[in-house]
Amino acid sequence: MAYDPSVYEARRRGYSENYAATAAANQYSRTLAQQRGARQRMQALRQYETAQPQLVRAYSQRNLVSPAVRSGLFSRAMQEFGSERARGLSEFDLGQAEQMRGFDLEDARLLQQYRAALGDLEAEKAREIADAARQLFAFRAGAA
Amino acid sequence: MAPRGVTVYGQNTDNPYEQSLYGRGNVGRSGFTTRRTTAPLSPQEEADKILNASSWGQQLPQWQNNMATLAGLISGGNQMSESDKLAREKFEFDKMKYAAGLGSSASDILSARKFQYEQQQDAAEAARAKRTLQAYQNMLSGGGYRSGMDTLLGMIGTEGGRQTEEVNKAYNDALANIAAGYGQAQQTTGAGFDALNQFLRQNPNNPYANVQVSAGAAPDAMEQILSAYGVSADPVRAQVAAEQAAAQQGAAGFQNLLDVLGASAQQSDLSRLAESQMAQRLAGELLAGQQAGLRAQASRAQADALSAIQAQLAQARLEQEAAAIARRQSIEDAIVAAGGQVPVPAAAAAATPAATPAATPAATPAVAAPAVTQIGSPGVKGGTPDYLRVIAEQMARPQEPKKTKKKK
Repeated sequence: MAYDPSVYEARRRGYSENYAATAAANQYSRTLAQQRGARQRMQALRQYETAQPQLVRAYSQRNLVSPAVRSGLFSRAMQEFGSERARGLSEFDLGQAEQMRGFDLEDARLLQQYRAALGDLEAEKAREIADAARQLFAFRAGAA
Repeated sequence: MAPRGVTVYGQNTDNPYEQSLYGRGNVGRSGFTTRRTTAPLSPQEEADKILNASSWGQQLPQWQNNMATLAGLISGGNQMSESDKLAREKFEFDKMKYAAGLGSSASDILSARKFQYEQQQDAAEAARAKRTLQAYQNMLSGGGYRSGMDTLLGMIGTEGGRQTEEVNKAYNDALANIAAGYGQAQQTTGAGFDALNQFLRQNPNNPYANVQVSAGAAPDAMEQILSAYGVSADPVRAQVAAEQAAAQQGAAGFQNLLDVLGASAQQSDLSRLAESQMAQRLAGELLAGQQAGLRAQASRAQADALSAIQAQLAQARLEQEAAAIARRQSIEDAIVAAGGQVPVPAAAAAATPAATPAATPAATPAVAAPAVTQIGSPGVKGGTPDYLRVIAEQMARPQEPKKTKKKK
């Protein structure tokens, strides 16, 4: 079969378009997930901010806390609240980061697949050029 | 019976000597009569008659003498038969008689003229035969019989040389085409693999190296709020540190994953580079092998063509030599049939162009005169004309050509 570079250009366009489409979709999903995570984190922060005065008011109604009183129960409750808040936000951030890593990994995988396809395409083209050169050589020498 | 031209005298002669010799029984036989005229001639008339008759009166005995010689040659030289001896005696008598002016009648003159004409015809025929024979011998000894064939052989040799040059030119053209095609194919193949190598160098396939991995920011420990209420933030800071450590461990694990994938991608890249180099080397080897095969094919075609040309030339030369041999044989047969002697073969063998195919007739060395038996000469040898000797020899050897053919 004679060498036809247009076939390879068509395949190259197909690889590029496929990579562009899948990578864009991945990036878009990543962006959406990131925005969604940010909103959820803000919501969680607002919940903690809302819960913290309520906790102080509850201990204040029981006279366990006032400007002159600092009970051990209130202190332990506040420390538990702070730890719970830190744990909750950290878990949320970790989940968000893992989700983002998934998108990043998919992006890298798509790019690796695209470049590998292009490399295979270039190798195949080089082999076919060599084969066409041999055929042309045979034609020119009058052997074929 | 007497040979041709022998006079038979009739009974009507008045010559007593003739009558005593032949008798009177030969009435009606053809021949000369020796009837005398009734009136005697004067001396002057006798002299004129002798002078006038000398032109035929001497030829007739000479002819008779020749015929006797011919008869002697045919019968084997000096061994004459009885009838020939008798005829010879009669010829001697006739010679004497006609020398004396006898037998000058009109019929005698007519017969003598007729004989003279026949003699001239025989002489012309003999001369023509002699010339033909000499021409055959000269053709054979000088190599002229094969001059046309030598020209053809020269043309065949020239054509063979031209065809050989054509074949060699075609071979050289084929080699040039092969070399040019090989160079072009090598260049094209190199360009294709150079493009591949350039692509692989410009596009290192390790996309995982660019992935940013971070543990993220840790949440605050509410230290300000806790301190406002007089509560220690240490337990909260400890929890934040623990969560940060867990996040860093997760990031490190992901980085390890990226490193593994990146290493795999780099191995794939190296493998593709090696594949490119192997394919490029293989393409070069295939091209070199193909070039060697084409050169061998061209050499084989050249050898076949040259061999075919040589075979054709040899066949053509063989045909021409066979034709020359057949031509020579036919000339030899003609010479033998004409009673001549074939020239010495060595002279012709020295001029055979088989050893020098390119020799032309003009370049054929002069051949010495062959040892040919001289059949006759223009003069009279021993009283016998040469043409008679030729005729006699031909008649004496009528079976020679057939014997020669049987030997072959």
